[in-house]
Formats: sequence, C-alpha cells, structure tokens
Amino acid sequence: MNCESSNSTGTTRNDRAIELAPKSKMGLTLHNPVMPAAGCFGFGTETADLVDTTGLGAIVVGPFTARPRRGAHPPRAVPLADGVLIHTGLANPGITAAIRQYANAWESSPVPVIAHVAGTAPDEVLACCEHLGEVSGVAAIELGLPDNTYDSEVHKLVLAARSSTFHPLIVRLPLTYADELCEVAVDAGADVLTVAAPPRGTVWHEASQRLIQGRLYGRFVQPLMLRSLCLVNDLVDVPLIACGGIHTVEDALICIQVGASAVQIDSAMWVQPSSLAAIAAQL
Amino acid sequence: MIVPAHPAAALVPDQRINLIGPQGHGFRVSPDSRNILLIASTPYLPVLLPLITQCAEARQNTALVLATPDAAASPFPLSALPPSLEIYIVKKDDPAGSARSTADTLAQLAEWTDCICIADEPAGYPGLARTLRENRLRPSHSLAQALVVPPIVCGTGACQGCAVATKSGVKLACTDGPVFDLLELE
Repeated sequence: MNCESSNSTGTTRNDRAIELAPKSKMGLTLHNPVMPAAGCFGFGTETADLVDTTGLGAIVVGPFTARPRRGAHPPRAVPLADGVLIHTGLANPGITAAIRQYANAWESSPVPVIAHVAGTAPDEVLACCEHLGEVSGVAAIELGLPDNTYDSEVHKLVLAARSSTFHPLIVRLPLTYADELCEVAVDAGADVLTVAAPPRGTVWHEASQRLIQGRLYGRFVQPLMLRSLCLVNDLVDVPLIACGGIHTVEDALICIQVGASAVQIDSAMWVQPSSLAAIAAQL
Repeated sequence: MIVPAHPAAALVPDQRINLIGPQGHGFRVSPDSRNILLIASTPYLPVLLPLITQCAEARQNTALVLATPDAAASPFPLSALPPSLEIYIVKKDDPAGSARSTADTLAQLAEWTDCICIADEPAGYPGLARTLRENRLRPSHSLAQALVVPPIVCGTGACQGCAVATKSGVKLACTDGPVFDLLELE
C-alpha cells in the first residue's frame, strides 16, 4: 500500500460512519471520522459551551495518569510565529479523581468517549486502563507513547494496556519515531494507531530567560505528520487516525486520501472552536 | 483587556476576530471598599480604565499610581480621567527602577487603602508584595489583586497552557484568573 492509496481497514458503514476497530471485540463505531485530539479538548467539560459535539465521531479526553500530577511549572506556553509551544507536564487529577469528577459527563456524551492514557510506565498504564475499563461512558482507550522510547518499552506499555482492557486500544505514536514503532505497537495489541503526537521543540523564553521544551502545535505540523502517516500506512494494516496541524476540511481530506480512517483536530480548535464541528460537517 | 505584547494588540480596524468569554474573573472591588489604590505602568493603564470609571461612579476614594517614562507620552490623556482620581506619577526608567518607585508610593499608601488593584509586568509583583507585607500589618486576603496574563491558548482550561504559580498550586489564568491575589502569587 503506498501513500496514494487508501487504507481500507476502517470499514465504511454509510457515507461517513466507520468501524474504527473492526478487530476489537467491542468495536468502535464512529458516525463521523472527526474528533478532537488528546490534550486539546480537556477532560470533558471545559469546552462544553463552545463545541457542539453531536456531529463528531468521538471526543478524546485526557491525558490521564495513574496518580495526580500538578504539571509543569509556569511558563507552559510560548507563542510562535505560526503556532505555539506548550509543555503542561501531563497536569491531571489522576485517574480515580478524574473518573469521579468526569464520569457523568462522559456517560452523557452524545458521541463515544476515548480516554487518553499517558504512557508513563507499564504499571501506571495498567492501573489507568483497569479503572477506565469499569467506566461505562468510555468507549475506547488511546495510549500515548513517550517521545524518546524504544521497541521493548513500547511493547511493554502497549501490552500493559492490552492486557488490562477489552476496550478498543488506540496507540498514539510519537511523530519522530512513528514508522519505527508502529509495527511493535500493533504486534503488542494496538487496534488502531494515531499518527502522531505533536513533535517536540525547544524555544527561548525571554521573560524567564531560559529554554523551554514542549510540544509544537500549529498548521506547520501537518507536512511532518503526512510524511509519517504515509510511512506508517505502508507498514501496518490497522486503521489509522491522522493527527497534527489539520485546520481545514481540505487538510482532513488529504489525510483520508493517503490512508487515514479518521482525523483528530488539535490547534485548529484553539484558533476557532467551531472548526471541529465545521470540519466534521463538511467532510 | 489588551495588555502589551498580546496578539490582539496587533489587530487592525475591520479585522474579524472571534471572542470567547466571559471566562475567569477580573478585578473585584467591593462596594464597601472606601479607599481604592490602583497601580499600573503606562502600557497597562487601559486595563484599569473601566475600574477607574466604576470607582468614580461609586464615589469611592481612588488613587492611581502610574509608572511611566514620560507622563506626556501616556496612551490615554490623563486629563480625561475623573477629577476625583488622585494621580501619582512615578518614573519608569527600567523594570527594577519602576518597582522601586512604585513600591515607594505603595509603602506610603499601604495603610490608607482597603483595596489594591495592580496591572503591570508580573516581574515586579514580588517586590510589591514584599512592600505590602512590610507596610501593612497582617494584610487581609485579597487586599491586593494583580493582573497576570500569560499566553492564553484555548481560553477554556482545556489546554492547561496558561498556568500561573500560586502558593496554593498552579492555577490557570483563563479560568482562575487573570486577576490573582498578589500575596498568593509565587
């Protein structure tokens, strides 16, 4: 399968509906291939007044870790010419507190809820997935792999998630090593792959007079993501979710044409919150 | 509320923008407060203009400490401010100098005021907090409020980017601020 062919592993049910995880026991039917990216939508309630989720395929909440994390010390965001660098340090209330606080919102979501678990360590991933597996409002789990990792560690993380849940398991690959790690992730039990996590960068922060490392968001990420998407599409035969710098319906269509079954919208939501629903409606 | 270096400051007339809000909270001045002290450097003065009007209409005693390199270069004509507003012009040669000059005036008025609202570069806030503690016996909670506007990315709390360090943990400027208790800031 080359970059110009379409990935057919996501089974089409009607014009826009897809079965994203056909090999999973539980399956993951999306009535639209558009969803927000992890880290951009909050934990489930933050954008409730701004984003109409009814036309989306799913929402992605989190990231979550087993234990609470205060996150990175400020500053966390540095504006760039065409985007922004953000380093949150995985700030979240911890999985049990998050479930207490947000499970009702997930339960009442009109579309499937995908919970994003940060791949910090196998035991933490296992704990998170076990807790999330008991929440009826969660339809699938997305595991975010660390950026600087290697095959055996990826195998352990994915296996930990796979062994602790029957939910469809989506694995979000790091952009830089997406093609190197995709087969390991699938071998360990990934039903779907997200290509990819935002790339990392380092910028000088004038006010604090120090370098800040973090994830890069903006439309400029899209060419990098497309390259990885093409590479991964040639290597594995599972549904792919494109993620990174998708700002318009044309951007989303390109991703689908080169093999993605679905798309995640990240920084476009921050430019225009309604873009998520707009892309979903036009796609 | 447009602060220096904010992307909105680069907007041009007729440019289309999308606004999200209201989120978080601004300055809170109790109607029971009698003596209001406002502190700003020149670029931040527009942030306080609505508050100046509000205090004048409520007939609250109001003083403005304005740090400026040149009073004549103010972006807002000081003569247009309410006549009841007492204005202290302090020199702003550099950030450290400004903090000292503003701090001197704060020290002078610390016992007089029962509500302080500050809009300035956050780098000067630790010095102002120290001055307040030194010149006011047991300053009450929220006696001094300070504006902190880091880059706000999503405006809803979803991205967790606009973090502000406080003594009670990291807060988000978009939902918990952008006005914080000066003495709570780290």
